[in-house]
Amino acid sequence: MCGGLPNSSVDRRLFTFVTTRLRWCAGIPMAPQLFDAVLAVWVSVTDRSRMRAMEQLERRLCAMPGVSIGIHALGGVGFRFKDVEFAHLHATGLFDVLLRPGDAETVRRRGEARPHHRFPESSWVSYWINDDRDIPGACHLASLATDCLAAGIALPKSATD
Amino acid sequence: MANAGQGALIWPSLLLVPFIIGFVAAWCWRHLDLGQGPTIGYSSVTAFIGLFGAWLVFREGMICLVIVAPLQFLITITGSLTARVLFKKSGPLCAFSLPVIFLAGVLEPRMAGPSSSVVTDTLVIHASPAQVWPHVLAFGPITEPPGFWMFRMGLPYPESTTNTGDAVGASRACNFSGNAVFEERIVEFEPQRLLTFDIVKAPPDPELLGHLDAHRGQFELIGNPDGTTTLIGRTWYTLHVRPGWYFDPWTELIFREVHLRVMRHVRGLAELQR
Repeated sequence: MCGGLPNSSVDRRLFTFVTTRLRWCAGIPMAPQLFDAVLAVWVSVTDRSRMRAMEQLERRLCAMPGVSIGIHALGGVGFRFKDVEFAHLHATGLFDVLLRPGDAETVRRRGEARPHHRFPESSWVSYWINDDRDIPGACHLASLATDCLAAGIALPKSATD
Repeated sequence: MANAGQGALIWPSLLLVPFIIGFVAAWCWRHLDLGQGPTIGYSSVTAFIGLFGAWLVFREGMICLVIVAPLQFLITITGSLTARVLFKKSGPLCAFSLPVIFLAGVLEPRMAGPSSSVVTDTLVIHASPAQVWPHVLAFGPITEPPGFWMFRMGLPYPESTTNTGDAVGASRACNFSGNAVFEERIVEFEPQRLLTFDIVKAPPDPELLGHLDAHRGQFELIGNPDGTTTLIGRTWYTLHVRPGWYFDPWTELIFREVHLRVMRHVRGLAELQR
């Protein structure tokens, strides 16, 4: 596997704790955005190369035809292709991408991404941005999703599809 | 700020104001195409300017600013990061969001008024209620230097208490550092058991003005079978700043330290007498 691996940084451990044990907090208005902002502040202070890589990824994805950004409901930045959210980037550098079931299985088998951190059986895959060496891998995953959408192929509607 | 019951305008909570500040700031920066890192940096500067302005223009107390700073920074940053993404899209969503934010700022304070609560602290004194009671009524200067970090930063702390009589209606004065005086009037007086007083006038301290009203204080003495006394100190207060879940713990912490400074002094005087 060439990149996109998680590390055991404080913010990622906290993120894992909150998303597994305090998931109910997501129902509080703006709580996910506040939590993501806290993590973003932490990362911008403690791991600037990761923050720079995340910014670069955002710029690269926004430069792709048809891609726009928006607020992800569970915190972080969502990436949309013609109003379909196909990926989102959390402040920890966790990049989740929605693929066709076949593509998801392929990238997981090749080690190009890992099963989604919350829904490992779904068509979502997870990829961790640690520095700018992880950007090509993330862009590859994003282009798999946008190519499908551009070709009119629908992606699964929910994590349980 | 005014009481909700008087129908006057109330400021939105200190959750909404910094969020709006961050939101508006991101709108101003929308053409700069900022990433998350620079947005966080610029928002931090914005939050700092807000705090500095509060100190310079509104004469907010330093302790208040220290307490509010974490909230100010984090919520401003949250507002900026949220709006940064929002304003990268053009179209009706952006135009829609600004009136929504404005309406939230107007409507939110009408949904939550000031909050009232009581802080209670307990201390066991190795002396009888008869030995403790005189020192509850009045005590001389507390010479021990303050240990609590906020007192060392300049928050007024109790130094002595005087009274003009030992009956309902008598006046008391609780003297704090920096010549701050809380004028009190006794409303309940049961010797060796209960002393309750209303706070009729608080000092014009910037740490309090508009933020917090202390209404009433109380000392209750309970004689224990082993000859000791359980001294209970209570303060009733109303908090005018929100969100309550953030400011209540700070308020309780401050009143607790005030209580304990006085109660430990009373304990020292009473136990010395034995």
